[in-house]
Amino acid sequence: MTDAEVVLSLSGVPVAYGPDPARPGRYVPQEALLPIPGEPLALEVSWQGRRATAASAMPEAIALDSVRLSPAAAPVEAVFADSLGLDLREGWIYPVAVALYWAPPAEADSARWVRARLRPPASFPSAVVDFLLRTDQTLREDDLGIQPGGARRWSGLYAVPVEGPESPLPAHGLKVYLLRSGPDYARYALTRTDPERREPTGNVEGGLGIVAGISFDTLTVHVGGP
Amino acid sequence: MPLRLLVLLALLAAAARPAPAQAIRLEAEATPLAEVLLELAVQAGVDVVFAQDLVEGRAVSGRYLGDEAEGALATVLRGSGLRAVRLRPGQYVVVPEEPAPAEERRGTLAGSVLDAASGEVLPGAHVVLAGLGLGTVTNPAGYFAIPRLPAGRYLVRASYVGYRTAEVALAVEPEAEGALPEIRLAPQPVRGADVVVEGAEGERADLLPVPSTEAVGVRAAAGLPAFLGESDLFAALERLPGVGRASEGGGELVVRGAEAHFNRYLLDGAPVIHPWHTFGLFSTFQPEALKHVRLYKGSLPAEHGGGLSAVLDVEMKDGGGERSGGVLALSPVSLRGVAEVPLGRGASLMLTGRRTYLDLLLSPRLRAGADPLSFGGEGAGEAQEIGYYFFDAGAKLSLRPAPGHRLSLSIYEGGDDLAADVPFLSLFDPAPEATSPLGLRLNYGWGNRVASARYRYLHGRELFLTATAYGSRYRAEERAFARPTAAASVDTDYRVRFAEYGLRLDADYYLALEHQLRAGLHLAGRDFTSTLEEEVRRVAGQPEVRSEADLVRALEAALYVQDTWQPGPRWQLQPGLRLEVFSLGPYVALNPRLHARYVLARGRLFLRAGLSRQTQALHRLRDRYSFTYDLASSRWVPASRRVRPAVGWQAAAGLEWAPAEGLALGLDAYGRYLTDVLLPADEFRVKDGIEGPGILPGALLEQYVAATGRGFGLEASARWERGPWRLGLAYAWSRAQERPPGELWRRARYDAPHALEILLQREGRRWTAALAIALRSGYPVTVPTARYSLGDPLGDGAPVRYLHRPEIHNGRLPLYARADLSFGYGFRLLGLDWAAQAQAYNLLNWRNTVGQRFSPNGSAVAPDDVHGLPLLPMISLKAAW
Repeated sequence: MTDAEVVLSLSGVPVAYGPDPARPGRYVPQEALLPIPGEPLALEVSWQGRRATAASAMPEAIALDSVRLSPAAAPVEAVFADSLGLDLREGWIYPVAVALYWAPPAEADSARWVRARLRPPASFPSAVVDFLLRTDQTLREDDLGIQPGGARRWSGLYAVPVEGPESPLPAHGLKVYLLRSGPDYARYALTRTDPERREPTGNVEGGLGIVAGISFDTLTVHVGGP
Repeated sequence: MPLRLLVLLALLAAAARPAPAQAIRLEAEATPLAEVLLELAVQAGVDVVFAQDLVEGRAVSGRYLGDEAEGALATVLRGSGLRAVRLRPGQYVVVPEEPAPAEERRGTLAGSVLDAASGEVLPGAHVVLAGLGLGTVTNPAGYFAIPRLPAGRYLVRASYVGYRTAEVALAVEPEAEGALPEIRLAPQPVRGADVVVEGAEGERADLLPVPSTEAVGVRAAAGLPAFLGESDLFAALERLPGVGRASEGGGELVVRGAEAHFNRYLLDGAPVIHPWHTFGLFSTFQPEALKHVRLYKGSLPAEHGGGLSAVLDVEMKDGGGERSGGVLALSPVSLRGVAEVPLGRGASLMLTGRRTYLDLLLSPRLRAGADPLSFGGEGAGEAQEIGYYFFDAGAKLSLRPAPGHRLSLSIYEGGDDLAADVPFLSLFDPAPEATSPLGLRLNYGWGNRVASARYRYLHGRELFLTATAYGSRYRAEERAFARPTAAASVDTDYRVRFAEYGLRLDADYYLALEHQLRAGLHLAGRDFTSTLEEEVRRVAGQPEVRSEADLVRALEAALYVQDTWQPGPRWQLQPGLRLEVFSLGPYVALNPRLHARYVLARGRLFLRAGLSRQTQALHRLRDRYSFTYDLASSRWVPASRRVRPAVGWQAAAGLEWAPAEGLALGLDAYGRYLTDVLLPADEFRVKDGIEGPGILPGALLEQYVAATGRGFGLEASARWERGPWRLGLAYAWSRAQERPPGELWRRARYDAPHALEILLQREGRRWTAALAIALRSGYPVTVPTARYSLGDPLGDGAPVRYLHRPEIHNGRLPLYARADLSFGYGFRLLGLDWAAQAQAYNLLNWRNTVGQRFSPNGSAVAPDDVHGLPLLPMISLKAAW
């Protein structure tokens, strides 16, 4: 539908959204948005007498300080499976451990959540090995503790398939995301991973979906190669 | 609530008052005395009982006109050498005139009811004074007593499920001493064209006032069609109205739609914590080893606690009898046997055992629970091997050291062991050419160990004491090692222990003809232990180690008192009170119980009703996050400050009618209301990874919320027996609902509004056959109502499709229907009685839908049905000596 009335309030200031002619059903802001960390936001959508509302808040900005990668010294043997687990074979992979570092806000807040995600160029073809990889995680930021240098640290792991035990780590790009938001987004992120079985937990009254203020940083890292 | 209870008691007491006096007009001219007495009883509306030999040959003449039964009796018996003694309002017994006052010539009619073939005592047998409408039920030791009867001889009728009714004349003497009389009931032959089937009164018209109580014939249970031909008590239980199974092929027992963990199972007085094998497909109870089974479907007498849904009270055989005997049976699943050995001087021994055997044939390397994790590199990873077995072993020693003393010792141990060594490459190629270190090895084991000692002592003839000490333990071990890459592994060792130790003291005091008191004390200690050692190695180097341990100790004390009060020939009231104290919290629960039985037509039509409050301090939970623990086992969490005990109110009323010989009809209505039952906080949450909140009780309880539940329904049953034929029909209309906090009532998981069970059996001299048909509404299912897409700010740009499921259990699976058939042939060979049985599970191969999946990515949202088991033919063989 392209005739809904969509208004986003930032710190109590309404910002009108209008339909995007290039993508029917999508609405874009009609003026520049100036979100302020810690300030509330509210969304109201009206269409033919129906109304959907949601409220959230803008989190503090988050920025990646550094990314450290630790590829395995040599390929390791691994079991490969297709998504249905119908085709099993053994092959070789380079596990690559990744650590993300960022500066925490000045004050602790147990309602603050972060989501870290690693996006290698291709998804790894093994549901079995996926259990031990860690490419996407949402957790309470305070649970991560503070490193000696004063930074937060998250550890992830992804893998790159190679031809054999002598293969070098191929050059590839790794996209790294780091996101900060509140409990509403965390509930959504923690429940969005199994579309076959469930829908994510939303926070929209009178509608479906999630409205949450987020801040995120992203970085593309080039790994391997000469 | 106490006020409401008092009002109900007052109403029942008022209803129990004798009817107003009626005009009596008697005229006799050399009329047989028996005839006049019967006419008097009819006109006066009273019961008059007499021994036939007392009145035989006597005749009376005379006239009486008045309205007093006692005056009429005195007139009729004047000069006969007999007199009438009032037992209680409206009941008189004719006895010879004695010089001593009647009050001094009273005594207790007491004795035991036994199986004539085996010598086993029969708890729950009915003992009735014929013609007097006065009766009782044998206690768990097979003992009965009817106190303060006028001295004389009485015709006593004893009956029990699966046995021929017996009538014997017993004498009541004041201050009688010496050996108690024994009434021996002959089992009804299982095979034989000349089977005499007694009226069904004994099976339905239970003398206990507790409604919705089922006595289950264990001998008949052995011949019913059972899953994979494995004889199982639960194959008989699931044919009862309101009783079902949780899943296809078997599953835990579901009573009136309530969750299975609200059932409490007792074996010789000790709880069996988790009486299941093979994830619920088979129970631990083998009919051949049992002598007595009683199922309380809701309302409980004061002696029982816990079990908000049901209590199953099972007694093992004593092994008595004049000669030894036994059964050995082979099914596609197991080899099992029972041996009964009389040891002389009142001592006897019963031994029972069962073990599955396929693992011995198919996986010799992993047989007998060998631990694949201990193999190291030797032999591992060569080929896929999965070994599984379960076993049961039990024994019961019964001793009679002296008259009035009886001691029994029971032990039971059973468990399951699953061991697997699965190289990943072998999943689709059982014998791959190359060996590989990448694979999964696991060793899971779980089981119960139960021991009880029971001492029974008869002091005089009015006080019967029972002391029971028991210990029961459930253990589960889940050990797993998975290596998906040469550098990564998961190694877990998860253990659960739940032990209960208890002491019960029960006293039956036969105070007076109208009052039988029962009181008791129950002390129980419970230990809950769980440990987790987990090592996750994602890459070479330092592993992530998790080590958690938890020990919780809880005590429970219960004190109860109950009066079985018979204010008149038609009424029986059973008020009771049970006080329970739980140490964690602490919590104190005062649980009133009131049951009543009213005879609308003697021997034909009965009404039972009851109201009870029950408390269950044990919650059964399961982690819903991690694959590395709580995968095969369950966890029990006691009531504490974190979680309150679950409380249930149960009300039930039932009508039982035996309109003709061999025909019994029943109708029951019930309602229940439960509070503080735990439901998953997130119904859609399923295990999906390695990481989870851990095994500590707080982490588990975080995954659940305290909810309320309710259920109500009507159950109708009909049982018809004639010669070798038996037909049973059971229909239940029921609703089971639950309400999480802040939400509306919704269907519970096992809500099935309609259920019909049909059982047709023929037990001939050589051939036996049984056809069991089950039809019921499908269980609830959650159906999506819309589909939508959401983008992900950290995704690759493509929105993800989801299905909107606004309500839990808003749909229902299609009708479930199944017919099972069994044929048996009996013959004698090599001095043994053999029985060969062929069985067909799902005879008509109906494709039942037992689950539905919905995918968000198809062209339309349509259910993908999961079907139940197809036709499974099986044969089994049994030998008895």
